[in-house]
Parts: sequence; structure tokens; C-alpha cells
Amino acid sequence: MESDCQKYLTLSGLEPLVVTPESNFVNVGERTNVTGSRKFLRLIKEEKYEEALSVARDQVDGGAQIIDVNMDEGMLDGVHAMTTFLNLIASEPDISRVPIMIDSSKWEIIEAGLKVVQGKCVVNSISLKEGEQEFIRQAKLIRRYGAAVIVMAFDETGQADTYQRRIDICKRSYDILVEIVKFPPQDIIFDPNIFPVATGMDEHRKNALDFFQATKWIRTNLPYANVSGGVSNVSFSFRGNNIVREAINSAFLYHAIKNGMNIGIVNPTMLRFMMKFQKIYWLVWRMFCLIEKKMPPNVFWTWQKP
Amino acid sequence: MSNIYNELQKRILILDGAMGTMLQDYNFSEEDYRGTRFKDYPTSLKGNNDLLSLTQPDAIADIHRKYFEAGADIVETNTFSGTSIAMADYNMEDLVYELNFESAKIAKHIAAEFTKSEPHKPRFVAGSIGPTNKTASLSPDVNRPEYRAITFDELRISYKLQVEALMDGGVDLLLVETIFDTLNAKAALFAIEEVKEERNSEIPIMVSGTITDASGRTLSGQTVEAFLTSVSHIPLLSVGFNCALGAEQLKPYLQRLSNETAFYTSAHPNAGLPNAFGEYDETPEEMTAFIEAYFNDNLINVIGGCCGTNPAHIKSIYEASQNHKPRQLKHI
Repeated sequence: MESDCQKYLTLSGLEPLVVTPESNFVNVGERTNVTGSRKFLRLIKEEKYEEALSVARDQVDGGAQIIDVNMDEGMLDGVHAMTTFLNLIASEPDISRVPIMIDSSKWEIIEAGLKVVQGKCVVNSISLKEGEQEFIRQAKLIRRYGAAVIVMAFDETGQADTYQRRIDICKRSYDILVEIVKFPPQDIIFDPNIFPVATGMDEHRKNALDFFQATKWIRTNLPYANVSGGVSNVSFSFRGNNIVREAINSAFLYHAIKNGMNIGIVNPTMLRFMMKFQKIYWLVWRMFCLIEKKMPPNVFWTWQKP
Repeated sequence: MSNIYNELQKRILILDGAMGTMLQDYNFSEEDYRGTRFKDYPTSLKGNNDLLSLTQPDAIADIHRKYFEAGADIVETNTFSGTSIAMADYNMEDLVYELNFESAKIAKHIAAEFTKSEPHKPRFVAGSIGPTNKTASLSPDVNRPEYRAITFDELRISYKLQVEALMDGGVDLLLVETIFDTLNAKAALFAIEEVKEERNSEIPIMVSGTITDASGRTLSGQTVEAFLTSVSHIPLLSVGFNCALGAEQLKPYLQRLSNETAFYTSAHPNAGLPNAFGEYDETPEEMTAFIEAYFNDNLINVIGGCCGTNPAHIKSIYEASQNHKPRQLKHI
């Protein structure tokens, strides 16, 4: 008997998280990630789990609705670290009340995570990178473990870097998941690749615009599917200059949400800044646009003055 | 076999009551549990109720018969502890297949008798799959919160053997029940899906969680809605609650479950809360009065009893159900 009333992405920790059209943007905490946080990596390496748990707790207290956990680091036993940390989270009700995002590029680490989480979590991520057969195998198992999934816009030939490639790969992935694997479409979250802008290279000029348009296309044409992305990547060209990065990230996030991105790996403070300092960011953004005349104007000028 | 989906549309289906409560009346001794076959078994066997399917099969058959006579549409096999994990307490891991297979056979035999004499009311057998005595998402050691006494894979393998034996024995449904740790249940559901795929089977699955107390949560800490979300990834026949609470205390949680799920709903509450001696003394009339409220509010498709209930409770619930229509599935 097919459950046809739950067409919204529904996740759970100790409590449920239902992503409806009325939900505001769902923000995923990114600090419990050894690839993104040197501090967290150090804590895990030194097995200072109490402190590592406090990183997770701070994110939940700070408003993260899902927490991303990533243990992909050459020097770590990823399976052991993922299992141990998720088991520890399970014994902290103030953290485990939110759903977990199991983040790894290695299937054995993802599967180790799936085996220790009682709630409905999100796998981050799978793709067609290794071909259809492996994609189907992993998707089937994820469904059997009872998780939702992030699908990267990536196929056998590489990462999607244009609007057309993004929508082609997402459509192909969607059809395989829904028709062959019978994956519930509302449990699919696409990540259509957020790439840096303002790299100085001509072929990167439309990176932001392509993401927005692909997002809009997915939300219009792939019923019930969700869209997510790692926002801070967009400002990678400005690493070291945090004010500019925050401005770009916030402006990008604003457009991405407007085009239908409903989940994102962001620093929760980014959202607060976006609301608080919209005007300042708008000015910085305008100045930046004036300097970078090469940028496609429609990306930048459409951000209306708040 | 008639299709249980058809029956569910026609009427509220009645599940049986407690097995353990009924067995207490037999007052079986250690020797009775052992029978002749396990006369010299090195472990004490008294209390291993699942073993009675091999050593006292007539008693088990009689209990099934009494519940069918009381009006039950579905009886549960005597296999609540029929996993290698739970049977390890008696060093009987090797008997798991036989215990489940024979228990299914006994129940199916009685069900067939009743279906034959009352074809308008076909009887079904649900393979009872208990939670085991270990938890996959809780540490038994407060000083080692990362430690687990059992892993997902150990549970999955253990459940798979139970499921295969129950299906070989001919059960019509599988009932994953008394779920106090959702991760255990997810391992059972994973194993069931594996067997279904290997056998190209569409055997219906019932899932029944346990809300432990007035906190409204499972033992592993999930709310009603979080529990529902965590087990709804595969198509289920029904989802519901059983044990720990009486019909009265269970109602608000059943209401929330019924509001949220697109599956059929089930409940098999205890005969009230235990008294000071750990006994359940809610009478059939008292329990039925609370369950009437489920019927009036259209909360339920399958209703039965757990600890402390007996055929008198089931008969009373069955009679009350006759005046009511089953809950309609939600299409939001």
C-alpha cells in the first residue's frame, strides 16, 4: 500500500522535521565536519568527544535544523569515527532531537552511519559518478535503511558545470530513482553544484546564474524533489576576506531561496546576518558588481534594494 | 488466502490478546517446559514461553483457538522472543528456525479450521517479531555512552532467520511489535525487505511501537511523529502501538498517529496499568469502554490486547466493534 499523503520531505531525530512549502529555508549545521572545520578535526583526532559534542550542541542551539556529520579525512578511521560520534550524539537528547545528515564520499562510511541512527536521516551524497548500477545499488540500500538522499549533479563524465548539464543529470537521476528504485520523490534532494563566482575566468561567469536557473527548473519539473547546496563555496575566490564572503554568501542565498532552494548547508549565523544586515550587504554587493563589470548583470542587479 | 486488505475495508479487525497471561494459568513446571525432548538440557528452561510451541503444542493451539472463538480475526504466533538474540538466554540459538516454523504451523492449522467453518470471516496468522532484549541505539553502560550491546547487522541477521522461518511456516502477515528502540525495528524491517525481495513476496507488514509512559515517547526517546517518520520508508499494512499503557492512556498517542499516517492503524494495549503487584486487573468491560472511544473517533483498523488481556477481553472488544465502521485511510 503506497503512502500517498506524505509528499513532503519528512525527517526525524527524536522529533520530526517536515519540510513543507510553508517551511522557511531548512538550514543544515556544517561545523561537525572534519573537512570544513580544523577545530572539529583536531577534536576528533584527539578523541576529545565531549568537546566535539559541544560543537554539535552549539549548532542545534544556534538554530541548525539538521546537523551534517563528516569524517572524511585521510588520517582518520572514518567508519570508526562516524559510528562513535553518532552513537554519542544518540545519547544526547538535546542534540539527537534533530535529524542527522551523514556526509561522506565513501560508501562504507555512509553505511556505517546508517546503521547507528534510529531516526530518518539524510545521506550526503550519491551520484551517477560510478555509473547507473552502483547508483541504483546505493539508492536501494538507502531506502531500505530508511533515509532521504542528496543527489549530486555528477555523472560518468564529471560534475555538471552548465545549466543544461545540471538539469540533464538531475532529470536522469530522478527518473532512475523514482521509476527503478521506487524511491519516494519527496525524499530526493538535489545538489546542483554551487561553484565560485568572480574567479576572473570567463567560463565561471554564469556559475551563480546557472545554479539559480537549474534550481528553478528542478523545483518546477521534478515533482516533490528538494534542492540543497553548500553555499559558502560561491565566495571561495575571496577566502581570507570574510566580510566580502559573508556579503556574497548572503546575497547568493537570498537568490537561491527565491529560486527554490529549500535546504542548505550554511552557517546559521549567515541567515541571521542576511536578515539583519541586508542593506549593508546590498551596498557591498553593488560596489562589488561595479568593480566586476564582467559579471552577468542579471545576477547582480536583480537583487532588489531591501 | 483471502486478501486482508479487503477485510480491512469491510470491518475493524480483531487481534488476539496476551499469550503469556494465558500461559500463566497452565502453571507449567520446569518439567513441563522441558517435555521429553529437553529433559536433560543443561540450562533452566522455565519461562521460555516460545519453547512451549515444541514441548506443549496443544496448549498453544488451545490458546489460539480460544482467541478465534472470542472473535479474533488475527492471532499472533508464539514467537515474541524467537530470535537468536533473545534465545541466547537459554542457549537455544540453534532452535530458532524450528521454534518459529512450528509456531507458525500451529497457528495456521487452527486458523484454517476456523476459516473453513466460517468462510465469511477468514482468519489470519501474524508472525510475532519482538524487540529482542537488547537495544541498538542505547548504551547499557552509563559510563560508555558510545558502547552498544548489539549492532544493526547482528539484529538484521537474527531477524532474517526468524522471518524466513515464520514465512516457511506459512504466516499471512508479519508483526514487528513492542518497539521500544526504533533502530531495532529498522533492522527487522531491513531483514524483512531482504527476504521479500529474495522470495518475490508481498507479505504485509504490521509495525507496532511502544510508548513507555506519559512522556509520550518511546524508550529510545522518539515522539509519536518521529517514530512514525522513522518506520514509514517501506509500505506497511498498518502502524500502531502496543504494551506499556492501557487503552485509556494510549488514546492521545493513537489519535496523533491516526492523524499523521496514510497506513492502517492498530493498537493492542495492556489491560490497564499494572497494580502494586505488577498484575493487570482492568476488566473486559472497563477496557472495552475505553476502546469504544477509539471506535467513536474513527482511530482504528486493527484492535487487540497485550499484557493482562484474555479471551474475555477480546470477546468484549469484538462485540463492541460490531457496531462500528473501520477508520478510513487518509488521502491528504
